[in-house]
Amino acid sequence: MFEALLHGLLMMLTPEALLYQIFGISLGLVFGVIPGLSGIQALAILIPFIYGLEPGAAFSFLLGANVAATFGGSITAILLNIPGTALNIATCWDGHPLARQGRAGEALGIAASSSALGGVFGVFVLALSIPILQVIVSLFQTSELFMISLLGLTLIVTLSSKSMLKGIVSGLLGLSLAFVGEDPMTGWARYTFGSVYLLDGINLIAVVTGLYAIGEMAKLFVEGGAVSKEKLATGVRGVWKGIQSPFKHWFLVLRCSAIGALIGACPGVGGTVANVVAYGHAAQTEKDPDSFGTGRVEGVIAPESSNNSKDGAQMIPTLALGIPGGEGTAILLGAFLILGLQPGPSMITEHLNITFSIMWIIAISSIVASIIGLLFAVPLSKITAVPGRLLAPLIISFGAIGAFASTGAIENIFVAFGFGILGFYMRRFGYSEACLIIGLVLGTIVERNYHIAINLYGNNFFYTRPISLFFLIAIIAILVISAWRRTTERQTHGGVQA
Amino acid sequence: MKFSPEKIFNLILLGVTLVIVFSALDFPSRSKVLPLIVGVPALGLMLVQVLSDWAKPSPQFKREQIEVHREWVIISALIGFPLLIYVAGLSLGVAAFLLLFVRMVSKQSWLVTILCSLGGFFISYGLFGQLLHYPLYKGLLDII
Repeated sequence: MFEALLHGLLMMLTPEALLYQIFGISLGLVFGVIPGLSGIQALAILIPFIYGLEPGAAFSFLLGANVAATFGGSITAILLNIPGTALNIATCWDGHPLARQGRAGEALGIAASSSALGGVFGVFVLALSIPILQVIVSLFQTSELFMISLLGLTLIVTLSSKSMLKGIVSGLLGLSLAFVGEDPMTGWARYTFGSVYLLDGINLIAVVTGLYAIGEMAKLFVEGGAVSKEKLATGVRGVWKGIQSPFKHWFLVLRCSAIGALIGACPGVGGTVANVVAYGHAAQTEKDPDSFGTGRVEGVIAPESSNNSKDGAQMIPTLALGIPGGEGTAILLGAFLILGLQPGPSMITEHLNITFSIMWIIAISSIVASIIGLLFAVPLSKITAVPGRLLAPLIISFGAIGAFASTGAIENIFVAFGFGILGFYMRRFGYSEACLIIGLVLGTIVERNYHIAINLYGNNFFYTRPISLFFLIAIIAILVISAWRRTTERQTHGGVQA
Repeated sequence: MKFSPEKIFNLILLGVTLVIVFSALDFPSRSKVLPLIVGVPALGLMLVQVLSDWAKPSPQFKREQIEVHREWVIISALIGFPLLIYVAGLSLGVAAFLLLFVRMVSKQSWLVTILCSLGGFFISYGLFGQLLHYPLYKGLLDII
């Protein structure tokens, strides 16, 4: 194991890998400061560029961009009160008040330092979990993988916050899209309508590019104006003081990083939940809770440390079980396949060096992204002033190039733009593109493992195998708790309104 | 019933779920199990959505004329751009799209327009085509 740990480090220390990491981090920061674009879009657009790269360089490029996008989003959250990504929502609440008090530099320093510490913590959790995972994954057979995929699908309910019905429909449509192409069991062409291109199934990268990059830019264009409507809060003094702050509040960093790691390890829950929960925890446990929201240092430390700790932890289900820990890791699964790697137990048994390499990349990217981000904080935030009417055609063009380059098929461009239009209207009418992606990604895994499990263990494997039964109970518990929480919230809101 | 864009979108999704379910009926028994398990609830939920659209009155939300205009522009662009690439190829299509859009829609100066257009061409033809030796789509025109 120590050999794999060392080999993993060496894989990311090659000149090629380091160069790609810096390049990825720079691009990720640019994506992060543009609201609407996040690490997910960065991954979607950059994924075609990894063809022909060594795994070390490819993951340095992609994960560098993904990790950096989160910190990039913090820059606009603090300076402009605009969360660059959904992961930075809670950073706005105390980060921007600090900036308005003339402490923008301090807030940026806190964010940078907390992000780096959180990132290293998440990786530490991942590293500690690997020996345990080696034992656990050997217990997981197709029936258990099927049940875990179902568990992942229940998160559609969690993500359907606006409209449960529309969220579930989005997820079911995503699942249906996963059935397009040749049936892996019978070879029957399903939903291909005579198209040879569709025999291989719907191209995930084209769908992601369409839904996120093209759909989001169409929305920005229609809404008009620039991304940023706030005046830029300049003045970045006090950075060093800010960098020191998380070390003074080390116990809060530790607690919030643990929250981020725990939430990140649960498939599909995502960092958005993590940063809000961590902020809530800080507000509940620190002194003078009423002053949160007015520029509390702890209000920046909490969400930022949880944000990046989830990155390492999200890789636990992704690497060990092949189940995406979140939207970003769902796209990252595509990168594994491009590189000829099968996410799942083999990443712990056969490719442990690559797993450790990923771990090192996340830890080092968290630190480097914070340093680069601090150096370019103010110039980067000016990107948000680029008018949407100019930004939209540029990003849409990059999306077209990315979609084509994913497999070199012109049909990908039509798929991407079709899903771009679909994504635009889904956003407008309250459907969830995140649920659609989760359905599409997990659909293939669900079907393949379902058929194999039925063949191996019969129709009753749901409750005859102990681990499958455990997951069945977990699925029911999640659905019941979710329904109970919604009912309680509705009653509370009803009570408040009354 | 007065048709709003949302109601039309919901009707389209209902149509999609109908296609999902009825196409699956023709599959062999093993191939249609999961498509039907997924498709039938989707169809049911979309029916509920469409029926609730019928039941409730249309919201009296008036969108600004400029937003409606922009929506037509961007949707036309999202339909026209892939067709442009199909005809002119990836590199020329991207360059031509940026040239037309940035100049005519974004109303930028010729300098910004040409820089954007050249940038798009450089990324597709220069980076992918020349640097990464990626086989680019040449379109019906078959130029580059």
